[in-house]
Amino acid sequence: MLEIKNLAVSYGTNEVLKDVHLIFEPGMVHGVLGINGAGKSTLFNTIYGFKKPNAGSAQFQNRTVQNGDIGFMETSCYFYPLMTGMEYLKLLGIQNKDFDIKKWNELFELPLNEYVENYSTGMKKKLAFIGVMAMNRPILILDEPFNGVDIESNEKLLQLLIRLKSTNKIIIIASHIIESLTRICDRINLLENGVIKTTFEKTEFPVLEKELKDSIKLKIDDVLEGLV
Amino acid sequence: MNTIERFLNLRIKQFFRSVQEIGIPLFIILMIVTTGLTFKVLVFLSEVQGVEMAFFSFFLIASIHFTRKDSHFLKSLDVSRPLLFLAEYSLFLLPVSMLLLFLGKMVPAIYWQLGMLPILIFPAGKLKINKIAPFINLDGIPSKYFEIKLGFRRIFFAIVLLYFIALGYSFFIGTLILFGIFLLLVLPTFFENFEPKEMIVLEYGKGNFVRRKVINHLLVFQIALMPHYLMFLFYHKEMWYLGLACFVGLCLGIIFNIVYKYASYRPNVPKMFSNSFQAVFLATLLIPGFVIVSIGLIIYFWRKATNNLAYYYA
Repeated sequence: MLEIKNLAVSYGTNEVLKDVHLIFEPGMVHGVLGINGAGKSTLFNTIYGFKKPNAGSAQFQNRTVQNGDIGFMETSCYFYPLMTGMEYLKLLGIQNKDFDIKKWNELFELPLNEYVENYSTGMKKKLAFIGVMAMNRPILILDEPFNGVDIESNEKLLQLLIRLKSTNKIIIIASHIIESLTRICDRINLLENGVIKTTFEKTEFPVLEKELKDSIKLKIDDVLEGLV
Repeated sequence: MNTIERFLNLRIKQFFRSVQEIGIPLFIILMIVTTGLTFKVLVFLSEVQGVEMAFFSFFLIASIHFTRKDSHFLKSLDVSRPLLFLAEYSLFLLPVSMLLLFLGKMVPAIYWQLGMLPILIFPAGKLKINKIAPFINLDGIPSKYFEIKLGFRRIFFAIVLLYFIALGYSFFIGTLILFGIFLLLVLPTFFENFEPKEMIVLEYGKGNFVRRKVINHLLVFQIALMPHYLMFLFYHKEMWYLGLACFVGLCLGIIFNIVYKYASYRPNVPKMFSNSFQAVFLATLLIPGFVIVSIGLIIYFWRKATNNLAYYYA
């Protein structure tokens, strides 16, 4: 179990996360939903250790979470110049001797012997995803994994994530695409202005969707009136 | 193979691949030029004490370490990062150490190799300069000079501070030259990002895109530098040719950066990928007698830039 306790993070005077408390259980897919700037990426960066919190902690199996516990796929991943996809995966999967790169690549059919810089945005995303799988960590954090990915690969990703639940990993996903989240998640945390506003269980997802649509409608109705 | 070995293996491969990208004929030119430069530096360095080599090594590695873009990626590898950095930087410094040993300079070679050690205790890629720069209003700069806006946002304080310091110290004969070298070093910062294709399409239709871009930027940069040339002439009239050399060198630097940018341009790619030729250009420009090579590079990349843009937009 991954437990986020009273996490507070700020950039200068800007408080991005305020007293966040969350529990992520294994064998489940947890969604984090929020508009741009709500604090999703900051939350992930802090759990992973890129950002130091002002207060609070992230505990995994009753100890502070470590890098080696997490496979983190950032919104935009870094790839070295003049490096092939195969080299990237071999580097990330070095500790995981059983990882069959060719078999995994059958899923996305990437040109692994080509330089990554020649890949499209979606291909880079898929490569980064296989890379995270290659690391074989107990916690998976995926920040916007569906961005730039084509429909077919999007579906493959969703089905794969559903299957991954049985491996007892803790899977945490942030996405703007609510349909993708409601389909695979067991629980969705709504992050608003740096606080967890509500946590929705699977049975409550229709309520979440309705609430979100209604609140957005309320916000833009007046504006749309003047525009169209 | 463990993670560090695989990582170093990848870095060595990258080096040889970049050599392949440059092409063998140009690589040979680069080797001749840089070998000459390296030996020139080594002859100079052979006169200094070993401890100075540790400082050079420290600052060189610090400039790499604190600006690394792969720090997040490296964190995801299951490996001790200080050990990985030690291995990588040692490998990076090795050629110079070998040359020093070849020259019989054992102590400076050891200092050179060990000088970077204190860096290893610091986290990589942490240098964030100009945090305040986005708050400086640069809206007055027309969008066709967006490169200048971009460069200023990145190094505003360094450039403005040095501009006025250099102006204040123009009574010293080396000031203009040093400031000129600084500008040559930071020029790539201005031109490394590609604009969206819509911006090019708008200007490309007017004809002579590259030439207009070059002339416009030469005018802006050189008008801004005019007070420096005038002060130099005021204090060192008899050395006018040095001022002229700075003027010509900066003109060549500006032209090269523009043509190299558009020679490497690809739509939908945000940033220039490789900057290996900028180092070659700078080396050839600064080594006496090699300026012809830098002019050759400008001609070569000018043609390439014109053809490249014509391919996408003609």
